[in-house]
Amino acid sequence: MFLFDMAISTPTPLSSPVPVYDTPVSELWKFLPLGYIVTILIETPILLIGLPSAVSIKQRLLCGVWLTACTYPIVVLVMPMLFEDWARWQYLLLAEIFAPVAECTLFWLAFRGRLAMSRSDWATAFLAIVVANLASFGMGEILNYYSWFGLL
Amino acid sequence: MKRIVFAFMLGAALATAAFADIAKPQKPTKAKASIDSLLHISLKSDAKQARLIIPKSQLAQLRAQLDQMGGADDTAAAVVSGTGMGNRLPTIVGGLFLSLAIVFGGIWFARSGKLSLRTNSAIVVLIIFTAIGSAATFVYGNAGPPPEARSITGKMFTQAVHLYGFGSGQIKLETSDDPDQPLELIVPNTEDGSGEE
Amino acid sequence: MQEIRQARFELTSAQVFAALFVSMCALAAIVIGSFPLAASIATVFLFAGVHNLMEFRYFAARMPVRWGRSRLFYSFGIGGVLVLAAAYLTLYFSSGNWLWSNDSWLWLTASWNTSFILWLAFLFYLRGRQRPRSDWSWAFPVGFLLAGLAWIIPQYWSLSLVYIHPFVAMWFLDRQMRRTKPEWITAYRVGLASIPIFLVLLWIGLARQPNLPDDTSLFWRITQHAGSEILPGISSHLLVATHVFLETIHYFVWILLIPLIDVKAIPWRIERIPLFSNKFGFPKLLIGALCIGALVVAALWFGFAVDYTRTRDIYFAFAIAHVLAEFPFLIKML
Repeated sequence: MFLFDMAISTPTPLSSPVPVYDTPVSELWKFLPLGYIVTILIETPILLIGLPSAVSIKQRLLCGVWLTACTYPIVVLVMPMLFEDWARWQYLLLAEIFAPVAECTLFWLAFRGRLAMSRSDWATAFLAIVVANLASFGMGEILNYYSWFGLL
Repeated sequence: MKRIVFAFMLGAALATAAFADIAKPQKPTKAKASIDSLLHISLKSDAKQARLIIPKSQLAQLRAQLDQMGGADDTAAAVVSGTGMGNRLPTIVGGLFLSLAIVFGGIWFARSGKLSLRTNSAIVVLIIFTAIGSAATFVYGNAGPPPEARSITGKMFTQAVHLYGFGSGQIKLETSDDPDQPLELIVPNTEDGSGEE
Repeated sequence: MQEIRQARFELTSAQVFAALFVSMCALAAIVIGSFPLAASIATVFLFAGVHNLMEFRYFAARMPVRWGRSRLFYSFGIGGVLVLAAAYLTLYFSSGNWLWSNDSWLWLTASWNTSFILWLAFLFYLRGRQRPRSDWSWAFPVGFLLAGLAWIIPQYWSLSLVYIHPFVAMWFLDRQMRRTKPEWITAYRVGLASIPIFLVLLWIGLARQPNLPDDTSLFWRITQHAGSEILPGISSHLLVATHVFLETIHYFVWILLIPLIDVKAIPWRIERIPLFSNKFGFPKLLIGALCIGALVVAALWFGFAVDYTRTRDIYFAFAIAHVLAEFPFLIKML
């Protein structure tokens, strides 16, 4: 997660035992729309291809936009604030477990009883959501490595 | 049924008032390092930034007191994290509510059958609102108190202080154990000084 | 045999109403724009208490004797008014209490705003359940979004409530007119449409005006109420004039226009109030409440005359109850 790298440990002259992190809250807000757009640009094509045929094209497009919109504020705003003392890998692990699990749950809540889907269709849908999340995570790491090519 | 509901509501209403009178908890008082001093507040037109100037002699007095009281355990963290709860809580709760709004909105939209009706216009509306929201997060993200409350300027002081250009009075210099405690000038706000005519 | 008629222009009551409405708005805009502080003091002095009494009179007339299917709605609505008003007053009057640090003040006021919003959302949902083929559960996502805004931009949220509140009365008038004077509804909406025009004219005329003096505590309160400290880049003259203009319309809707179109709302026609005239009603309780209301209005006038600033503070603290009470009755009319 890009902004977690910006968490700075500030050594104190009176040697506080716990490093103090300065998380720039305003930067999180500014990152929110940009990161969201990049994420849906990565995840929506995967969902368009991966979701079962019972889900119409319009529904797949809306899922690409909506599922990420549900979890993104929590991943980008809430978690960095709640877990600012955590190491980066701990935060990433939690975020990347939370996001696909939550999105699968939301997909199920939205479409249960509305679409004629078999168990294997549901499994395919959940797998597509997980793959989409992993893809956006992977692309995020690449972008972080190259400092977002100067965009941020 | 109505009476029970009313009684419950009235009880809840009175309970909120009762909390205002909770007795201050009896905490064991810990001796704090403090010295008596004089604070002079000056209003200067050519000053670029507010400053709290602590004479080295007084700082040395404080340090001597702290050393006497037990040294390292009593020293405060010198760095203020900048992300005290006051700054984080609005973001945490605001982000949670934002997510909840999108979750409930999407589920309602999907299950109400609206997906098949005028979906294109709904998508356009959603994009417009998202664009407005995105612009707003750049401008107003985590907007806090107004400028007068975020910077120390002459606007904080009454007309009387401006007339004289300064004010002064007794003050205590203290230290704090709380690493989240920001540098703070505490000013007694008596009834006379509340701004009444 | 052919009949010859002369074409005549006949003025209808609706056209007279529209003309008067627009004329009064124009006069108000000119006077208030020229003397906003004086107008603020005068309108609050003269009309604040009276309009609250008229609101209470109107709500009493709309309250059914037996709640029936609406039992849950009215219980939750009125109960919410009591709880939220009590919480608000507790926050307001205990601001010097040791509990209130800056941080706790922030989250307590934001929590109050959140409770208020979610209370409204639930009222909308309950109302939707009463209407056939309606699903108003969209109220919850809207409520969550507004609650998020109340936490993220608390100052702007509070200021928006100050400016939106006057429109609640205009919405009431619209709903009532559809029921009791439908022939005026088009004329009324023409009048409503003139309000943004007058606002724009006020803004154009006052945008470059210097800030109003706020060297006395009363003037500071008036300008602060209109948002001068939250919007320091905008002339406080403009802000106060806008706020007072909208509030004046709000007062006149309650005091004059609603009784004009609804016989039940005419103050002395208490026999039209079901709670009074119905054999299962509470006539003594109602008369007592109206008398107490009238006494409170008189006390307010006395208080304003003796110590306007302090009375204004007390009035606006307790006025939250009337702001809250408007919502259940408005939602019930939808």
